[in-house]
Amino acid sequence: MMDVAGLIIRIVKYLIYDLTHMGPVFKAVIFPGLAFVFILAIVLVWLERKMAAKVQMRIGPLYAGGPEGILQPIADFIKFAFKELIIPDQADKLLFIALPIVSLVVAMAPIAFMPYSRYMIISPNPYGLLFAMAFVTLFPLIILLTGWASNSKYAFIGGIRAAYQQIGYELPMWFSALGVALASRSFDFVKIVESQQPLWFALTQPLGALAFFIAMVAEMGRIPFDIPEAEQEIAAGWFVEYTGIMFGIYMVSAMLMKLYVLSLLFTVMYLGGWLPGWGLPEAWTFVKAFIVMFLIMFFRAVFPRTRIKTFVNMAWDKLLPLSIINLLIVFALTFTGFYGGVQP
Amino acid sequence: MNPVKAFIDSVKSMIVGFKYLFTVPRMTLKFPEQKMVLPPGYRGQHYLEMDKCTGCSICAMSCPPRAITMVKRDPTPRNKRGLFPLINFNYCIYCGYCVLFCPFDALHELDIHDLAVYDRDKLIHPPEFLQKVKENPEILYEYSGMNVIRTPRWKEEYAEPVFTRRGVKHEPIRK
Ligand code: SF4
Ligand code: SF4
Repeated sequence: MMDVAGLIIRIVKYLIYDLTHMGPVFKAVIFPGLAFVFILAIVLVWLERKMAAKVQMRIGPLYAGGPEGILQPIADFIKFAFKELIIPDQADKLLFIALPIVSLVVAMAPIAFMPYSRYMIISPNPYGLLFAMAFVTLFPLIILLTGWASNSKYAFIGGIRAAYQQIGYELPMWFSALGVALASRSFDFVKIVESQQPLWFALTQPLGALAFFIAMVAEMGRIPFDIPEAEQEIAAGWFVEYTGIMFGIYMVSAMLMKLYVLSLLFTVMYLGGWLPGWGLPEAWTFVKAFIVMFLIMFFRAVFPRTRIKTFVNMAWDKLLPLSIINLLIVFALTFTGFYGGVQP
Repeated sequence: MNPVKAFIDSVKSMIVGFKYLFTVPRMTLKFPEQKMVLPPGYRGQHYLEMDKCTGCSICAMSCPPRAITMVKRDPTPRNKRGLFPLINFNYCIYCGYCVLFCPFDALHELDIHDLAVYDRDKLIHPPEFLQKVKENPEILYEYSGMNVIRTPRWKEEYAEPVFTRRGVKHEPIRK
């Protein structure tokens, strides 16, 4: 009995120490982790809707409370939470219910490896880049599975489209990432950022950055490449059968978490993360990532959707050569010692 | 397609988007606080002058979705049979044929268009009701029970009619 009480006291003491000294629990739960991400998600949903409205001469969310209706995402969430959950008869029940949760986990997992500054990183890992990219790559598989588990025509078409699209952008994405890893001679995000000390990789490897950026937008499934969920063609595509809170979870994981994670990945890999590093390093990372997110959300307001054939052609004809040329240039530059340090 | 040209075009469209983000006026009105001044001839809620109606039933015959039913009321000097139109706004498509075909100018359309109700039966308007609507439009909202949500949150404003800014691109005309 005493032992249990002692244990609880020790745990509470540890938690207090941890939260006040920015330990791992603080990082996972508060700042780069859950709480921060969800607050950011609310702001992003509101910003996206408001911005699209402004560009299209509308007003956007207004009535839901707060200045300019900023509480709209919370209202939406409450609405989703109270809606009826409908599971289609023909669906693969277990997969159908499990997949939204799996998708949220997979979409949020890379946050653990993303550094906000040298110390503000949930799980410091010498192979962070590989892990993050692996989780990012896993997502289209979930889309395919969702389409298959829903057992509906539109959902299945959406899933197949996601798989087809992935065939296009996956290689350029990995080749571009390889350029970064080669130039910094590490898969560790902290090392990657620190090897961008004089010049960002976006400036020394512009071709790779461009290829990665386009592949990244396709991976997020955002306009102009939101081919798997093309609303006007196949309803909501791969998650058309979902209702209520499961739909809400998919919106968060597929629309927001991927946007956030990949923008942060781009910031860390190409835009120098927290460099130049004076002041509050976390703020630098955040501002850069936010600008990238803003840009990608802005695409939605101005661009139409590409056809899937156009996209896959572009990926194989233009992005893949671009990323390979970038890799060769980086390879040559490492031999000349351009990226500093010991030659390989 | 030339990728460089495509890139430049994309950047151009982004710049246009940024311009719209800040400079262009909003087209949406904060209804019901802000209202448009509707042009004459707007087809909305109907209004019947019972003393002009002769019960000829031409309105009912001309109504494409058969929204009009002739109902019996007390006869008037002009309307010996005592037949008057009852309009079911569940069916009405606001085509204006009844108004157009009425030989005695007894039916008219008003610029009232916010006819939302909680109960569909409230959209069936008998002739006495159609007669009262013009002098006292508020009875519409009392009758339908929708006046509760009409508490204004902003200062009431009237916007100029958007019909003057028609165009393929739906942009205000700048001179
Ligand atoms: S406006 Fe058209 S649809 Fe409506 S009652 Fe008159 S004729 Fe019928
Ligand atoms: S409203 Fe006009 S058309 Fe209809 S019955 Fe009366 S007079 Fe005839």
